Parts: sequence; structure tokens; C-alpha cells
Amino acid sequence: MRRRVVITGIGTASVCGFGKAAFWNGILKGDTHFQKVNDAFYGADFQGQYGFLDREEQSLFEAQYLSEEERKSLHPCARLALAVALSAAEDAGLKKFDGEISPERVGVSVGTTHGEINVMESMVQENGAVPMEQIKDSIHHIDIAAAIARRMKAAGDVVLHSDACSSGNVAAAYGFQMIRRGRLDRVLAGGVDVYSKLTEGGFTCIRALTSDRVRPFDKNRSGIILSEGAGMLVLEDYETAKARGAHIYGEILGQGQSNDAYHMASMDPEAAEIQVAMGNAVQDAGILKGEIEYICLHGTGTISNDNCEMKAIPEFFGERAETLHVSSIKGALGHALGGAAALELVACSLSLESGIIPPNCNLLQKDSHCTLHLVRQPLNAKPSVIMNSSYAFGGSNCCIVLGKVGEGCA
Amino acid sequence: MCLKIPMGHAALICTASEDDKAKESGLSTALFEAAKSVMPAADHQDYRQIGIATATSYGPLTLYLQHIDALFKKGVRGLRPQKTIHCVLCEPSCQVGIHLRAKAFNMSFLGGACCGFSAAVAVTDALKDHMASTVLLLGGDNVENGSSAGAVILGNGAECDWYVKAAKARFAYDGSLKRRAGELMQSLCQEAGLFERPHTLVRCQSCLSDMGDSGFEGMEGGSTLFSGLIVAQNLLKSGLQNVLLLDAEPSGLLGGLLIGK
Repeated sequence: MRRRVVITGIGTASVCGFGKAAFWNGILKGDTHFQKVNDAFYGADFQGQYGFLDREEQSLFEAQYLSEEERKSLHPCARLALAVALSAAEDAGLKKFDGEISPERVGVSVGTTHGEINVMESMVQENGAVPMEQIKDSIHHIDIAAAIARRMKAAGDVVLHSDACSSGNVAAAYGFQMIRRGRLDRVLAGGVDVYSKLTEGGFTCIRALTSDRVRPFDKNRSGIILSEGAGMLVLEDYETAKARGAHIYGEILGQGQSNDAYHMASMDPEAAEIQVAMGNAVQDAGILKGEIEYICLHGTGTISNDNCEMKAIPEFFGERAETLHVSSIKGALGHALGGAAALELVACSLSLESGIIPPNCNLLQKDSHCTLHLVRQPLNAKPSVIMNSSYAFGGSNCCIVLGKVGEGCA
Repeated sequence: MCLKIPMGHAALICTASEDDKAKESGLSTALFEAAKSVMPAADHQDYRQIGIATATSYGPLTLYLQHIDALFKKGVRGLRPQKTIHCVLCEPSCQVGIHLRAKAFNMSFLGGACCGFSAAVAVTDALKDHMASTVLLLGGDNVENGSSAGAVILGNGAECDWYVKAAKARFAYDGSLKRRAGELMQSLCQEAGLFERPHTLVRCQSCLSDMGDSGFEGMEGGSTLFSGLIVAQNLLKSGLQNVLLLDAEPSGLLGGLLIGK
């Protein structure tokens, strides 16, 4: 028999602030302030923006959760991931990590697009060309997951995924699978990425950044704003969570993946593999696709990404697509890369708990080809089954289906 | 019931330095070469059913360093748009997926010497969960003058008489790598239904080197597992029934793979 997997804790750091209240208020309001980026090397005519974390708040947040040693020794991505993971553990009521369940039954599954690339950038900026061996001696991406495992006293599987923009969903899906098949009882899962000059430069090169607001599915959408962020979730076996009286945000019902195998920097315009991922998730969840009441879209605000979702969802859901609530929260959060899907999973969890669907903010005039039922204002629709979708550069697609744990189910 | 996942011959190759004119990273080229050397005749393959899992410590590190250097020296104008966007840790895995049109899934796993084990555990899970019928397990990293890359096929597409009988990963959160390794060995044998510990192969440079019956030489990050697999498969060819492959890295990660006939 397959075990049930529930979400018992969440932690966030995003351009909207630190902690779930700031995050939820931020995506419901959608009036995020992104900072202008004016580093000289981007060029005089560059009008980029970036969703930086508030450094003062970040420092306080990290001081609250990390030891002095951790703050000194860990690189920025690992530091942020650890602080957010510990805040999620605190939210789950896990104050001590001793004795309650065997360490072999606890794991970590985190995703990142670039890991500690910013450290590499700092080394090159300070010293000029740096030998490869020096980089290898100084940077160990795995510390992003390992630091969490050390604090959580996890002796089970500790995994660091890298699947571009799908990283957070793939990591959570993997955590879900490990619990469901009985290997682990608890997994700290999520995603993280911090500022990278090269990433900003790369997206500038391919003209994917907007100098406007991020307007997913708008007629005049003009691209993305990159941002920093981390989302972490405590996933637990339902019986374990119930036994300790944990608060349950929702249940992960299933996951589905596919690979476009099309192009490194663009999605397959036929959007066939997106539909395969959605279909696999629905099948894995053991539900009918008509049972899904809300989709948290990938919705980057680029022409090509949004076109793919505008095509895939009606083709997959048929007439149901016209009434199915959908929204992208990237208008409020920007695109947090490895952190994006994990933050969206947090949003889905809070949506299940509160009954509120977060809006697709900054939408002025819907794309005329878009038949999706976009939610424009916070909507009290009380969804009980939600899909979180993420589609990455390079082709990795991952969808997760979440459900409300009703009294009848318990 | 014991796990029995078919496994093909492992390959490990080293390639020369980055080709500046190439559209992709040197590591992805190396991984694709390794993949081609283990893929069975392609005609009958259903690529929708093939998944890819790649282990790497640093992804396309040479490409990253070239572009970071160019960015600081010349600004954005120093970047080549179509190549800069390939500076992403999963690029090598994605490029192989694109070449092979492998559509079931594409996952990349980061770590040190043990990241190959993390990927191998995920592959056995994916096959058990029917996420794919065949998985191409890859691993590699850039070295100073090129790349090292390994590949092996697992699942229905593997044309071989060997099997993965158990695959597990652990983490020594308290630094007790040897104690955890002992527990891991026991657990692997138990899962494979073995009452006696089989021939155990450990990486010579690891802290577990005195726990093995013989050793294998470590390679760069993601390719390390494949160095061990080749030695393990040779031991099976020479008559052993089972070989337990074990490794640990300073981060605390441990991995074990029990393969046999």
C-alpha cells in the first residue's frame, strides 16, 4: 500500500520578505518592488531589474537560525537554504531533532539552478582568472543540502538536484517519492538560488529580461525579472505527522515528469511534453484531471513560455480549461530559478489551507490567444485539488498534484 | 522480493579540452560520447520511455569560468548569447537528452565523489516506479584539460547479464562515515537477500579504503562511480557472483551499489 505524504511545515525567503506571512501577503497584493540593476558591465543602455532579498532582513533572519560558525563557513546559497529549512522545521513544530524518529528515516532533497556560482564570480572578480582546482577546493555545491542534513540530523538520502527552473519541483517530487515508497518518514525538500551576475548577463544576452513589470499572459508581456529566493517544505508520512499532532497544510497526491528534449533555451512550441508531465502527475495522483481546481502555472511572462502553457492547458483539459482557475505568481515574485517552483509549492500549500487562490498580478490586457481562466484578484474558491507546474530550460518538466486533507480522509 | 535491474557495460572516457566553436559544453560532448558507446542499436528504442540521470560536481565548469572571465573583462558584450545560456549546472544532461530525444525524464544530481551513487539510487527508484523503462545513467566533470565522463544503461534496454540488486545512499550527519558505511553494507546485503558480505570494492582515496577487499581509483566527481563500476564488472566477468561497491565523501554522503549475476 502506498503511504500518504503530507506537508507539515513551510519556510520562505523571497523578494516579498521572510516567512510565510510576508510571502503570502506579498503574492496576494502583488505590488513587489524590484531593484534596478546598474552594474557597468551590463552596458549603459541596460535597464534591468532584480528581485534582491532585503539584506538587512536577511542578516537578521540568518542570525536567528544559524550558528556563528555556519554564518562564517557556509556560502550564500547554503546559508539561505539552511535558514529557510530551519524556519520550515520550526513551522512544523520540530524544535529538536533527536530521538523522535530514527535519523535513517530523515532525508533532504533540495534543488538549485546554479548553486554557489556567485562565489565563483566573486573569486574571478577579485583575482582575475582562477584555476579550476582552486574553484574545486573552495566550492562544494552539495553543502547546500548537506548543511541542512547536519542540522536536521538526517542520515537517510541527502540529495542536491539541479534541473534549472524545475529544480524545486523535482526535489519535492523526489522527497515525496522517498516517503511514499516507505524509505523515509520525513524529508526537508525545496529549492534555492541567489543573485548571479552571469545569470543576469546570460538572460540579458538572449533578451529575456523586461524593464517593465512581469506580466504573465498579458498581451504586452515582455519578459522576466530574475530574483533570489528559497522555499522549503517539511514533507512527512501522514501517520508520523498525525501521531505527533502536526499541523497539516495539505497532501502531495502525485507527481509527473517528462523531458522536452527539444532545445537548451526554449520550450517545445508543440507543448506535447508539458501535457505528458501533467498527465503523469494526474495518473500518479490517482485522480481524474477534471478534479483539479487550480493550477499554479509556470508563467514566466515571456512570449514563448506563456504561449506553451496557453496551448497545453486547453489541449489537456479540454472545455474544463475555460473554467479552471489558473494563475502565475511570478508577477509578484519574479523568477527565483531553483527557488521558483518550491516557492510556488508553498503558495499552493497556503492556498489549500486558506482557500484563497493567489492572483496573476500585473495583468492589464489578456493575450488575445489566451483562453485560460486567469485569476486576477485573490479569490476565495476553496480549492481542494491543486497542480503546481514547472517547465525548465533544457526541457525538464515536472508537475505536482496537491490535495486538501479533509476530516473524512483523516 | 529482491531487486533485479538489468545493467549494461559501463564506459568511461576522457576527452580533450573545450572546443570554443562548439555549441555546447565540452562536458556535454564527453557525456554524449560515453552515452553512444553504451547505447544499444537505436532503431528499436522507444525514446519516450528513456530517462536520463546525470551525476556531476560542477556541471560545465570550464564554460562557467570562461564566461565569468569574459563578463568581468568585457561586460555583457563579451558574452556569446547562445553559449552563455548554456552556463547552467544541468546543461550536460539536457544536451544528451536533446541529442537522444530521450523524453521520459532528465535529472541532474550534484555532489562530490558520491554523486554517482545518488543518481544511481534515483534511477533504480525511477525504474521501480515505471517512470521509464530504460535509463541512461551518466556522470562526469571537467578536468584541467578536458572532461571525464561515464555512462551505463539500466533497465530493459540493457543488453547484459548483470543486475543491480540493491542501491542505497546515506548521510553521516555526525561525521561517523565508517559506522554509517558498515550499516549501509549490512542494509545492502539484506536488501539483496545475501547472508554473507560479497567482495567489497571501495575507492582507494576514500576514508573507507580499509573496509574493502579491493579498491578502485577515484576520478573527477561525477565519473567516479563509473571507475568503480568498470572494476566491479571486470570482477563479475572473472567469476565473482556479486560485488558491493561502496564510497563516501567528506560532505557526509555515502553510497552503495550491489551488483551481481
